[in-house]
Amino acid sequence: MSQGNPAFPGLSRLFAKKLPSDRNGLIQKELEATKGMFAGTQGHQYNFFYYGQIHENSHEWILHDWFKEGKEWRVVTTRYLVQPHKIYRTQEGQPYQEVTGDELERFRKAIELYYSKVRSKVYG
Amino acid sequence: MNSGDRENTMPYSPQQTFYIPPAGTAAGPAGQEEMPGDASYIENTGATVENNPNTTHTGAFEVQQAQESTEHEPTAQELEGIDDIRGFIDSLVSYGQEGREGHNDDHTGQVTATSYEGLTDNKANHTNSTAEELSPKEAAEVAADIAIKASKYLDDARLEAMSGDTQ
Repeated sequence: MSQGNPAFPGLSRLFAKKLPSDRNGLIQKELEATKGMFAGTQGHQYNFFYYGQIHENSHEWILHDWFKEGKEWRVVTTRYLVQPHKIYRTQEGQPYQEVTGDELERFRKAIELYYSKVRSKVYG
Repeated sequence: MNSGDRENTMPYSPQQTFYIPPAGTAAGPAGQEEMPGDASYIENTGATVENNPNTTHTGAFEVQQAQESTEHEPTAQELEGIDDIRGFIDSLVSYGQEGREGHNDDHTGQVTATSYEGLTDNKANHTNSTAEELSPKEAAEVAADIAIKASKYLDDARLEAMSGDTQ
């Protein structure tokens, strides 16, 4: 990310953002940068983030839907698996299903927004 | 970064999931009170692509087609869960549109139309205004292409950060 400054070689490093050196810490930073991206509704709170490359041609994005049952928090995990020509979704161990229609379009927009925020706020 | 570098970013098992409890809660999900107190933890979760015995080949990836599943009919609760997801994703549309139009949002910070630079190609840009003109197959290809570009950017950015290039 850092391009360096030819006139002052150490300058960009001096003012560079301090980032966690571990993957989980970076994901947490990304979540902070995208906080508020998805408004919680009816007692639900959502975390949406890029999990990582899990196969050569597969990238996984995750949506956590947090909600309360009584005094305890529960979470439903939805995994979006991105492959070169299709996107699949699975929820809580259910079979993978191709994402289509409105959900596909909204997922695309969510990716774009996540990317833009993380790029500017975390790695920019 | 070459492809070899990216392969090194792949040790993350799909069996692992990264959880962050909702803001303002000390513990997170039920039964997790004993986890380390930094509000994040790794937990093993359920099914993976690999260990699903009911898979059919679709190119390089094995996917169980919904219509081929005879073992499980979605319950009302599960269907409601999917509706919740769709409802949630509904809320993305306004944010995405604001971002594309270059509006600011107090909750989300500045998002400009140029923020998506490098993420969309001509075909994808075409879909921004006329998504309904694309066939389902084309729409899927465009969305997958954008998602892959974003994913690769994040893979590289994380790898660089972990290697200390940004510090």
